[in-house]
Amino acid sequence: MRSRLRQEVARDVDAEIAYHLDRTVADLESAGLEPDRARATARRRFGRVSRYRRELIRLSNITRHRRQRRSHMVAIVEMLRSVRRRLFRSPGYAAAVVAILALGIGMNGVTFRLADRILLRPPAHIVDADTVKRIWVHREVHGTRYDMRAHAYADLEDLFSADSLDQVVASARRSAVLGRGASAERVITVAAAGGYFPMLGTRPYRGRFFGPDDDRPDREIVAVVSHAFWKGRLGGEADAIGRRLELDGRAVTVVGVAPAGFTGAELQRVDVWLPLEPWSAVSEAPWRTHRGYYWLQGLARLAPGVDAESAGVEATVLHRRARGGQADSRYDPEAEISFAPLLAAHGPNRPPEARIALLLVGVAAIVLLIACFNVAHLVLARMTWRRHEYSLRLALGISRGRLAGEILLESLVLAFLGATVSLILVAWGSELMRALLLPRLAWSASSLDPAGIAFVVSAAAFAGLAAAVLPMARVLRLDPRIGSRVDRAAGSRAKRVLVAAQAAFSTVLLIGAGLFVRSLDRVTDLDLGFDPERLVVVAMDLENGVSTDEGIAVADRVLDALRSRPEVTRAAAVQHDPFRDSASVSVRLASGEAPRADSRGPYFEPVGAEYFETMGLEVLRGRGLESRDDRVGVEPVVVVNQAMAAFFWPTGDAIGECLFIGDDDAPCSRVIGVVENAHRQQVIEERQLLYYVPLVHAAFGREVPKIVARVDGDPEALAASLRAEVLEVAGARIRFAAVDPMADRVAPQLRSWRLGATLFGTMGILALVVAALGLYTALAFDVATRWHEIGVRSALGATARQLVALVLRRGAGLALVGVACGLVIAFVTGVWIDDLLYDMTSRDPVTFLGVSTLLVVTGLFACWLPARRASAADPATVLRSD
Amino acid sequence: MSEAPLSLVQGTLDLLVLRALESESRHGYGVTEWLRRRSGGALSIEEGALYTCLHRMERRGWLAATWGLSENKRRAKFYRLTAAGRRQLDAESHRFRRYCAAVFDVLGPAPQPEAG
Repeated sequence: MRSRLRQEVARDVDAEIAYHLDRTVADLESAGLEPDRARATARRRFGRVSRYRRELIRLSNITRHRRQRRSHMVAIVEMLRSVRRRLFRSPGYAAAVVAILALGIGMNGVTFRLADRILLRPPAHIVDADTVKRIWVHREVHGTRYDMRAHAYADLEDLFSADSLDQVVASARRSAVLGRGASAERVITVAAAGGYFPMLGTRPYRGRFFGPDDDRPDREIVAVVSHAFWKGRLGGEADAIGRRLELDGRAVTVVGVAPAGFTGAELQRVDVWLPLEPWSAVSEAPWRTHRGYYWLQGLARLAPGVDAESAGVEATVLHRRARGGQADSRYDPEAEISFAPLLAAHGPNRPPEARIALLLVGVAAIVLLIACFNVAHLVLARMTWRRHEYSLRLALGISRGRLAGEILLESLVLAFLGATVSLILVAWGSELMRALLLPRLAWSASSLDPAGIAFVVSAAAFAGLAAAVLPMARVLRLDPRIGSRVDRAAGSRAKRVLVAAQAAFSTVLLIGAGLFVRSLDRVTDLDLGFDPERLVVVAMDLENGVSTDEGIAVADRVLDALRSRPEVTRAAAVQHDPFRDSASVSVRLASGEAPRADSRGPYFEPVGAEYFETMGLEVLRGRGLESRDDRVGVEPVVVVNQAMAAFFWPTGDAIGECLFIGDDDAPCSRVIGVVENAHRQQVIEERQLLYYVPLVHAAFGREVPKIVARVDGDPEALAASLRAEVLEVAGARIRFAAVDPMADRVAPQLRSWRLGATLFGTMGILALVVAALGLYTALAFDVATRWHEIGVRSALGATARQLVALVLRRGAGLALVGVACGLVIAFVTGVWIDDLLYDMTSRDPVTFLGVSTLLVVTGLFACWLPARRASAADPATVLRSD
Repeated sequence: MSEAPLSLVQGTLDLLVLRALESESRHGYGVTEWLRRRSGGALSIEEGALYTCLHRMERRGWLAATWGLSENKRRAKFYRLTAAGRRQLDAESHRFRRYCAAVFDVLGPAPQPEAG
């Protein structure tokens, strides 16, 4: 193209020079010169032809370029004017297209931003985040391989000497109580080594961060607070630096405020950072040396030029060497250390949220595609409607390219209008989604960042182009001579393909939605054994200096007080925080055997009287634990769950058997009952072997128990009054009391399913609505363009029913073809999400059947309105109007 | 008797070509002829340079060009003045006249040729 134009320019220059020379020669000859001399003179007068020729060509090319550019600009401005004119002429159409594209683009924007936050970007404010890695250890315990990010302090200390690491820091995240009494609340703290802030390279927003100097056991405890904490709880005042806070009953001094959005190495909210050594100094446990406490996260910055893999090799060597000297039969000598990116989505044990976010990016793209099909279809339909105008304009000599350009421009204008609308949707939608589905993510989603806006803009450009492709192709094929008849057939074929494609993609999305919803249903319906609804857990933190025995006495009084409340139907004490903590200790049979079912247990649960009744666990055989069992001096008894009974005594009845719990000299604990199975810590877990003993027989000694209470009413609403009661009864002996609904402990585990079900569901419904609209408009236009034919048929005696059937046949056919294609696609691609589903395959027949029915019914409904209009056609009016 | 043709002072060619096109559109050859006639052959202009000048002024938007039929019925490229070209001609000719007047003032009256 370009070279052809260049040749043209050269030809023109040659022609111009030749003309000049020829005229000069002719003049000279007529003045009497010899032809040869005339030619020579002409050339001499002109100068060096080849040089001038080059120069002229160069100048002409520049001129041509400028002229072209100017004429393009003029054409685009003109086209924009005509687009504006046409859109103002049909505001309903414009609004519909903008709305459809805004939804499609908005959905993409929301999922992009979620994926961007979860998958792509490291936590904020970390310098060179690529070289900061999270330390993982991979080991086998009892035949099960574990990828763990929790370490013992000594295990991290081993890595301090690694050459491939610049720095290694330990940190521990846990909640602490801020203040005391009724106004006390829980905050999230991270206790971190002194090297933590220097390693991350972050700069404080106010004051200073703590460093190695602050991280000594004898130092006063300083604290760095998050920006949000400073704004909210410290009033955002400048004098917050130097303020003293009471955390877990200890005084800490605020020395700095972290920048907004800083959450350390994780994406979750943190309120306060504390130096590890002084903060942990009160702990009596030998946490610095004992290799059995896995409570610290490890972060490392790689030395310059070192990759994570070679660092892992060196760290593994150091780790095995240090561990090799220990006499720990439970430790895996083959354990490995690895360094993974900070983002959980890129490390081992990728959370399902990350997979789902990725999946959603694809799903959102499909929604956008459906929206584009829909818009393309609308444009085609409008072209059919106004085909005479197009033929006329072509006949008047307006080029096809110009018409196609107008279509493209119109489509882009509408897409960018849609994008503008969608920005509101994106800001609002991503915040809603974050709040509903990822509440722990510390991320202010409502303010749009440049990446989000850039994405929306490019999505709009894509949508504008995609929606214009088919209509443009059609305009380029238009032939004004043949008129509109042939062309109409071709256009309606394209339209039908578009409608069927929308139906197909909607089917795929709805099947995805159906699968996730059914998975969520199944997970939600899982019988945990106990009933988490209307159950609350009461936990108390003792004031410093209050002994465990005093604490137990307080807990007893609180238990009595709760039992006497009218809204509490039952209550019981339990040593381990339910659905969170548990412990295991070796258990022997009378024969001396100590059966173990790997990670399934047995686990040991010291509980008080009425525990089973309160939790809603049925005692299947024998009896449950009663208050008379919970005394020193009576014969120790134990209740085992069904799974444990079956594992320990596969042939006989467990009741009356002896269990020896703990030390070699432990007495026989008599099995007095078998209780139904319950989940220990997870909604989805293998059957756990659990046994329950009276609180007095707790193998590691007694602790202040938690209290579980079943209430009559909404636990959320009752929590405040119950907490007030607990604080009043316990008085000054406790610093903090928490009353949490049990359901709050279960819900987070359902989150990834809920995430999938909600998002897929929303997109599926959206897709269905858009596709139904597509089918409806297709048929409505069809009926409108065949109005004359329908009138003739009606006049020839076609009944209303026949006319309805005529329209329905078309519509239902399209819907069926689309749905069938969609089913096939879903059947084939479903394997991608198989592992995200619970207890079902991606080829679940119920879902397939349900979705097909839904789509066919929706399709028929979409056909029904146009069909009714056709049947109501009055032949006289129709034929007269034509 | 006839003196050697004069070379053009820098920048003068533009002015002359604009003037040549002031009243009617011409092709390059026409411009050459017109200049020759008007100057009585006193100006020596390399014709290639004249074409460069035409093209450059077309690029600048002072001239517009169209292909048409010449008086001998051949295809030729005709140049005409645009509005911008006309403004340029007015400004330049005014400037040039002032320039020449100043130079003449300095030179004084021309010496009278010796009678004889």
